[in-house]
Amino acid sequence: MDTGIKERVLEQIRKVVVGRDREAELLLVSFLSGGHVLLEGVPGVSKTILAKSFAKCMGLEFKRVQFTPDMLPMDMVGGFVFNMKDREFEFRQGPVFTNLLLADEINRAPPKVQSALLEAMQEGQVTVEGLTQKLPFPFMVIATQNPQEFQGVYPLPENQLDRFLMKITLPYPDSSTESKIIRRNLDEMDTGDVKEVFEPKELEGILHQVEKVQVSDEVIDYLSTIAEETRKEKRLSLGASPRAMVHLIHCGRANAYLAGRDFVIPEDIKSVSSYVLAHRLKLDQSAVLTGTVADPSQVVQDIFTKVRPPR
Amino acid sequence: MFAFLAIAIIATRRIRPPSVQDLSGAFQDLDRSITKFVPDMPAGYTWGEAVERLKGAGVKVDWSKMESSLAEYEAFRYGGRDVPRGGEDEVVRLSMKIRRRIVGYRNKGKSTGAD
Repeated sequence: MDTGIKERVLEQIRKVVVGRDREAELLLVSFLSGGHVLLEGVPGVSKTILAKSFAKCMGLEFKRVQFTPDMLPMDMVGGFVFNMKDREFEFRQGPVFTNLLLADEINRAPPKVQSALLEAMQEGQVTVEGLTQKLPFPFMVIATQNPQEFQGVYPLPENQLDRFLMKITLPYPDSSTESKIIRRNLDEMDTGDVKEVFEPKELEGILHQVEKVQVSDEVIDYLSTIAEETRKEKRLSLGASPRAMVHLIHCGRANAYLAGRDFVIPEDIKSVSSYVLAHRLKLDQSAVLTGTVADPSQVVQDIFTKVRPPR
Repeated sequence: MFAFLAIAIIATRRIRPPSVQDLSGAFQDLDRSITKFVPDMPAGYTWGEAVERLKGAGVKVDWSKMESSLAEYEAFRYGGRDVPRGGEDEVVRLSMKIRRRIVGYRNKGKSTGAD
């Protein structure tokens, strides 16, 4: 089993993105798990360049959509246009027909557009006026949002958040990383330096192998216990959905594969638990008001700290 | 004099190496040692976290042997492989070290767990 995949990808991304190894690794885990990612961060913390360079090194077709409040669903999924030559309506594909879609500032788009993404994200297809079209395989959405924007935004509802396999928050870099970023950007830099590390066939093979990574019954039971704990947790008003746990086990498989194993260990799950679960959990308002808890990640960590994994 | 002798015998008995059949038994014993004698290790610890924690605490065992034993044990425990043969010595040694340290802690009233 190839264990050098992570290093090959990180090596390319490091050429243009400084200090985002963990985030790049999480993108890779999400991709191998067949999931979509929500990147959250203030403007200028390398969300877009990270997504672009990731797409490029994976050899994926990449499209970017800048979401705005006046957007319509057909701006993204496509629609029927009248072909004057043939004198009939024909379907023109929107930017969603790609391998990697960067949905920039997703929370600025109205709910209709956001929900149009739902079918694409969940089913890998879009339906327009009864015509269902399959999206290319693999298909991944990397959506970004700015947590500091409060005006003219439409926060993603719980059901849409649940569709995202992971939410990755990009904080400001520390001062030494920031110095490196500034120094590097003295010279013009773009994703042109990033090289493709996979042939499409190889990528398909990798995805196929990830699916073969086995999960023992005890590890599955461990996940069920975690799910139950989130639902019993007093500091939460909404616990983890079954879909969340399915996503978590897929991430566990991807992590195991990247570590060169063909079986999942509890650590594969625990290491990504906050990224996979926190954005789906809703804090209980009384717990927030009394200052008991401020961040769902803390609750996730507390639960994983107390639930005994199979050892 | 006899009291000291009795205490010494009891202490020796308490840290006598456990009789383990195989690597699986060794890890079960190590789990008991960690749970009992490393008080700040949370119930939800994973093997990887335990290794990191004990390594960081300066417990001296052959960590490369320990890690290869762990990899074999995990393949058995989670990957459905056959019970691995051998490799339990270093795991038992680690388990003993953890127990001895807590004896020191109890007797001298300082240090916690594997620290």
